[in-house]
Amino acid sequence: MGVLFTAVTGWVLVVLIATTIGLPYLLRGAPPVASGSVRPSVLERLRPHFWLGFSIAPLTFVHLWPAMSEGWVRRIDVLGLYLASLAFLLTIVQVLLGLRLRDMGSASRRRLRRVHFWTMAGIAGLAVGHVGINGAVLRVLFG
Amino acid sequence: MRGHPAERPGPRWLPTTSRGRLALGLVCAGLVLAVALPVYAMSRMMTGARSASEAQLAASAAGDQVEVAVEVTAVPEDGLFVANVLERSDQGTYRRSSRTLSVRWGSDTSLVMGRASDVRPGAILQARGRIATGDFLEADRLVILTGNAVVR
Repeated sequence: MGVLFTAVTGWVLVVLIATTIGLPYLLRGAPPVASGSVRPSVLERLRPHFWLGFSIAPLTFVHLWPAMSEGWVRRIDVLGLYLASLAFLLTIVQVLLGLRLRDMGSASRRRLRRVHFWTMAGIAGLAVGHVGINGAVLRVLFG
Repeated sequence: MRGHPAERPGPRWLPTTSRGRLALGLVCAGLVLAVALPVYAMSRMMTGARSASEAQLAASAAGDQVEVAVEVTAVPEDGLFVANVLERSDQGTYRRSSRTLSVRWGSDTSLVMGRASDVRPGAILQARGRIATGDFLEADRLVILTGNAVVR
C-alpha cells in the first residue's frame, strides 16, 4: 500500500509542480476578472501560485514518508534518492525566495527573481531525474 | 438606490476567463490522471493481472514473450535464479504452483521497484521476457514485488 501511496503522491506532486511553474506565466498578463473592474495587483493575481508553492514542501514530506517509515527506501536506487533530496531542499529555498519576492519594493527583486527562476529549473530537472530513475509507474505501463 | 449587478461573480478562486477555466480543467485532469495511472499500474502488477498462468506457460513455445509472477527459490550464480511460478488467485493474491522456472537476467534487464540485491531466495518478482529452450526465461524486466504481493 505504501508503494501505491508514494506513486500517487509523486504524480500529484509532478502535476502541482508543473502548475506552480506555469501559473505566473499564465497570470502575468491575466485580464481583469470582469469588464470594467479594476485589474488586481500582481500579488493578488499570484495568490494561487503562492499557495501551491507553499503546499509542495509538505506534500513532498508526505510522499517520502512511507518509504522512510516502512524501510523500503533501501531498495530504491540511491542516485535517484539524492536527486529527490536535493529537490526537496531546493523547494524549501524556493519558498523562502518566494516570501522575499512578495516584497514588491525590494531593491534586489530583479536578482531574486532570477534566482527564483533558476531554482525552479533546478527543482524541475532534479524531479525529472528522480522520476526517471525511481519512478515505477511509467516503466510498469510502458517499459 | 443600487440595482442588482448584471453578472454574479463566482467564488474568488474560480477563474472567470476562458483561458483560466481551461487551465483549471487541465490541472484537474492532470490530478485525476496522477491518481488513476499509479492505481491502475500498481494494482495490476500487485494482483498479477498480467501474469501468465501455469497452463499458459506450459503452452508457450520458445521465443514467446511471457510475463509471470515467481518466487525465487535459489540463486545458483550471478544473473541466474530458479523460481517457483506463482498463480493468481481470485482474491488478488498469489499461490504457489508446482512449476519451476530458471530465469536469466543481466545488466540489460530493467529492474523496477528494487535493486539487483533484492533478487534473492524468498523474493517475489514479476518477470517479463522470452521463453528459451527448456524451462528458461530470458528476462528483459523484473519488478520486485517483495513486501507488496501476498502469497498464500
